[in-house]
Parts: sequence; C-alpha cells; structure tokens
Amino acid sequence: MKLDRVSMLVEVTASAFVADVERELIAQRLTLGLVSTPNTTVADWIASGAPGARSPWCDPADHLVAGYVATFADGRRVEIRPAPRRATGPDLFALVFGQRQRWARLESAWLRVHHRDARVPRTAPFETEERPWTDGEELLAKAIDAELSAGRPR
Amino acid sequence: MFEGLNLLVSENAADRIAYARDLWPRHHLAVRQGRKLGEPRAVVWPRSTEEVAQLMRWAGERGVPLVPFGAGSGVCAAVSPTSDAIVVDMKRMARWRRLDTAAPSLDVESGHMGVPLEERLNREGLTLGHFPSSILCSTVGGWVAARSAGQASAYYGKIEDMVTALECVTGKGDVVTLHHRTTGPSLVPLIVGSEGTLAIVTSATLRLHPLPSTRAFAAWSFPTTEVGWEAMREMFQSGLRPAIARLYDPFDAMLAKQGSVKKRGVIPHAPGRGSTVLRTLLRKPRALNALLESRPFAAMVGGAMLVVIFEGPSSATDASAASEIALAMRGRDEGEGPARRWLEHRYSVSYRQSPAVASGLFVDTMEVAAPWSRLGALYENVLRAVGPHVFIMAHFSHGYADGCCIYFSFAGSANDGGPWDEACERTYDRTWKSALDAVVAAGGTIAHHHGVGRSKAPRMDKELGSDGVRAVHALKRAFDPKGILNPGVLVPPVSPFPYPERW
Repeated sequence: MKLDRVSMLVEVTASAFVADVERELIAQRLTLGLVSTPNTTVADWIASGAPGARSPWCDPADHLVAGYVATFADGRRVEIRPAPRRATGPDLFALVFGQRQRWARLESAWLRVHHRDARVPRTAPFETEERPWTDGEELLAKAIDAELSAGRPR
Repeated sequence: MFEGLNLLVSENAADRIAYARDLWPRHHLAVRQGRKLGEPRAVVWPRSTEEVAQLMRWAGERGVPLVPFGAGSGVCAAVSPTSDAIVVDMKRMARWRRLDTAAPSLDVESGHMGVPLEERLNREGLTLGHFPSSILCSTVGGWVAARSAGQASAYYGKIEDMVTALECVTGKGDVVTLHHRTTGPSLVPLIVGSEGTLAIVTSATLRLHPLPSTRAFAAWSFPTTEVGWEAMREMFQSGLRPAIARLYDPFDAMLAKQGSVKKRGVIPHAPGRGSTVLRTLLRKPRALNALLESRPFAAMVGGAMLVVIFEGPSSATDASAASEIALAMRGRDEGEGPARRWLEHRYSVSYRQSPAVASGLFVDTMEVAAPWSRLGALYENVLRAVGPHVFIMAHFSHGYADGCCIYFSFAGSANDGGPWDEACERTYDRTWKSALDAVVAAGGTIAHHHGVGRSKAPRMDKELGSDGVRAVHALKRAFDPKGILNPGVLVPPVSPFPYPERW
C-alpha cells in the first residue's frame, strides 16, 4: 500500500483485501469512506461494482478510483495515471468496473481516501434505478468481446 | 447523391464553409492567411433519432464519413471534415422528452443549446449545474462528446457525473439506450468523451438539482500561487464543496481584481498601435514571463487570489469554514467583490479570441490536471517549457479533493523570421509540443475538459499507453465497424490532416 497523503490517494494491489486496506488507513486516521466494508479483494470488489461504497450522486465531484493498472483478456496492459478527472476519450475504466472481469483484470488501483474527521459532502438526494442489462447493451458488449480479444489495431 | 434519404440536406458552398471547422485556434491562423480549410461534401440536419439511424445506415453502405456537430465551440479540431464527409448538425433535435421533477432528471435531445436549457430549467425551480464558458454556443451533445466541465464542477461534477442514460445511434445504425448503473456494468462512460467516434448521441438523461436559494461569496489574496493552492486543497480535503473555486496567479489576479480582462480585455479589439506594441513585446516573451513570475512582481500586484462561491442552505457556514482555512494560511480577506464581479462577467472572456487573431497574434488555452502532489511540478514544468515561446498565465479552477485542473492561457506572435503568419504557426506548434511534453513528464493528464480532437490525438499514446490506444481502436471497431464516425479524431489520424501530425 502506497499512500499519497497530499493527494489523499492510496495505491493498492488488486489482491489486497479491502478490509485490510481500511484497517491500515484507520491506523493513520484515514478511511476509504465506505458505508460498509466488504470482505473481498480490491479486484473482486471493483469487478462487482464496489458494493458498500457511497453513492456517486451524493458528492458528484468526488470519485472512488483515480487511476489503475488493468490487463485485458489478450494480455495487453493499460496503465492510467491518477488524475482527478480527465477528458481523453472513452473512460476505459468502464471495461473494468462492475464487469466481473469480462474484459479486463485489475492489477492495482489508486483509491480515494478521506480524513476520518472530515465532513461528508452531500448534495440534494438523488438515486437512479438499477436497470437490468438490455439486449442492445449485450449486443454491443458481444462486439466488444470480439474486438478486445482480437486485439489488432485498425 | 442523397436520393432515398428524406433529410434536410445542404450542399450550398456557404454552409460547407461554415461547417468546415470548430474554434481550434490553429484553424483561425489558417483563415487569417486566407488558406482554404477542408470543406465537407454536405451538411445534414436530422430531426429525429430515426433520421440519424437512416443516415448512418446510408453512410455505412457507401463508406461516407460522418462528423457530428453541436454548436462548433470545440477547441481541439474535433470538427475538421474531409471533403468526402457529411457534417451532421444535431441542433434540430432539441426537444425535452421527459422532465421528472421528483427525481429530478431530464431526458433532453442532444441538439439543445446550453443557455435556453438552463433558463427553462430555472423556471421550473431546477438547475443542471453545468456552466461551461461555452454555454452560449454549445449543446448537450457537445458536452457529452467532449466530457465537458462547467464552472461549478467542484460541487455539481462534470458532465460525466450528470448522465444517467444516453440514447445513441451506433456506427452500424442501431439505436441503443445505455444506462448508468451505480454498482453494475455500464457502457455510458465509453460514449461520454468519445467525441462522436463511436456513436451519435441523440438524447441524454441528466441529473438535476433544486435551484439554489442562497449563495455566499468570498475571496482571499495569498503571497504566492502555491500558498493559494494549498488553501484550496485544504478546503476540498476538509469536505467543503464550493460551487466555484478559482485561484488566479499574480498577473491573472491583477486583471481579475481590476475586472479589465472581463470588461475591456488586455488584447486590443482591432489592429492598431496597441496591437503593434503587443506583437513586438510577444516576440520575446521569456523576459516578460520571468518578470511576471518574480516574487517582487507578485508582491507589487498583491499576490495570487482565490475566489469562491458557495451555494445552497449551508453556504454561509461553508464560507465561514473556508475563511478560517484561508486566513490560517496567510490569506488576506478581499471581501465579496471579486467573486461577485467574476459571476457577473463569467462568460465574457471567451469572446476575446477573434480580436486577438485579427490583431496578428494568437491566443489559446490548455486545461490539464494532476493529483495535488504533482500539481507543483505540473505548473512549473509547463511554465518553464512554454515561457520561451509565448506569454503565459494560469488559473486553477475545477478543484477536487484529490487534485486540480490548471487552466493555462497563452498569447503569442511570430518569434522567428519569415512571413509573419507562417512564423506564428511555428510558434504555436512549438508551444503546444513543449507544453504537452511537460504535462506528461510531470505526470498530469493532457486534457481535463476540452477533449482531444485531432489536435492532441497524436499524444494519446502518452496518455493511455500504446495498449490503451489499441483498446480505443478496439472499441471503435465494436461500435463503428466501418469506421465512418469522425475518423482521425481521438486516436492518431488515419486520413489526411492539413497540420503537423506530431507536436
């Protein structure tokens, strides 16, 4: 675990357990700021959509993961440097987050950490319905399956 | 050519010229020289999702490139059509499909312009909270395409933090609706920021907020820019979320205090004696930059300045908490005036580009971001790299708990020999090459909210790595197997492009 206290980010390997990371952070008066701490590895936690994390709608200007390293099914490795936000094309993290390792396996991640005594920002209440995966989305996902495993540049 | 298509189409020369470019400053330099830019074959104005799908299928069968167009305010050459391309202007698709006041959210077609959208929402007691400087000349679809940020992103987030669903037409002509899922898989983040290369967005469902009933304004001066950003960091990491937080370096702060950059501008409106002096001064910008970055200059003009605006019921107490932090870090209270003045003139500065170009200069901006621990290196690297070429100043807007965006503004002229306009172009290219190298070396990201377009596409391997670029190519093939959507944008050009391919 590598802590960047200035930026309030911690780099963890994906095989680390979320609970262990949280325990180490608490010892330094920091926290991941989760509603509940899962008993899984960081890789499994992110692949299943980070259950137990605060809703992103509560504090839209914050985020859970600032940077990461992931390996795609064809062995290619993507390293995204931590940044608070970026506008550099599609957010490839969508190929990792909540996708149950369909396209990529997380190797490490820069997670946001919070001071334990910091106030918790909260905008007006808002939630979205967790709609089921649609046929149209699955059709696109299958096209992505084929292309990511093909892995050849145009 | 368009037989069988029931669409509003123009092959008129005036339309083709009007849609040949966006607001990338290097396009302006080309126009100033009277150089012809690539004009598209035609312009189309679809009125429904079905018309977009019909056009997409038609173009796919013929291999005709399509360039989606919002309001043309992009600054990275995402609109730079080739002569065989058709520009697809989405502004005739601007209906509200569904306002859910309970949620609250709005499903709105992608061609809706920014200001009328916000004004109508305000009449309903709601706000989107998205106020890009380009709001007067940008659309919902353009915001989504470029992963835009508004001035109040520190509280409301960027556009990617507002989208709950997207309806789009893929390069195959399929109409799909993609949903945000908080803990599940979502393809929405692949389309947001894809700059029209994967699909044409026809509508977006956006999260709304109640219109804030109160605001609190505050500003502080700091002896140096670095002390100012430390105060800003402390505010965000303590859990404060000012809707607006803008830190100006000493020169930019001096202009902001006087209100001159907002009211009259530092750049003349038209060619004349003032512009001649400025052109001469900017030929050797190194000395000017060194002077303005010096501590004596910073002290003389009153140092850096941080302007904040809080919104909502807790705005007064939040402003008090921010003030405690600022004063504890050697901040000097500047009162409410600077923040109120900024709000009054918040969109004015965007209209200074054309007068500068007409004066024989060029101006541009670069918005980059990094974690707080790398912000100093990012700031210094870019100043050192760019300072020999152009006059440069900066402000720090779009703050977050883990980092910040630095918004560099620069002005330049010809600083080597030869014909003036060509020398300007060389200065411009040198500036950007040096700047992007410096950003990457400091560990920053090359774009926070302007996007990539064609101008930064050759640098995407530095941002995502070569395997990341290949992943973008793979997505392109999945969404747009025939490669007809905005080719050459985002990833290195595959079609002729009239500018240097590698800065």
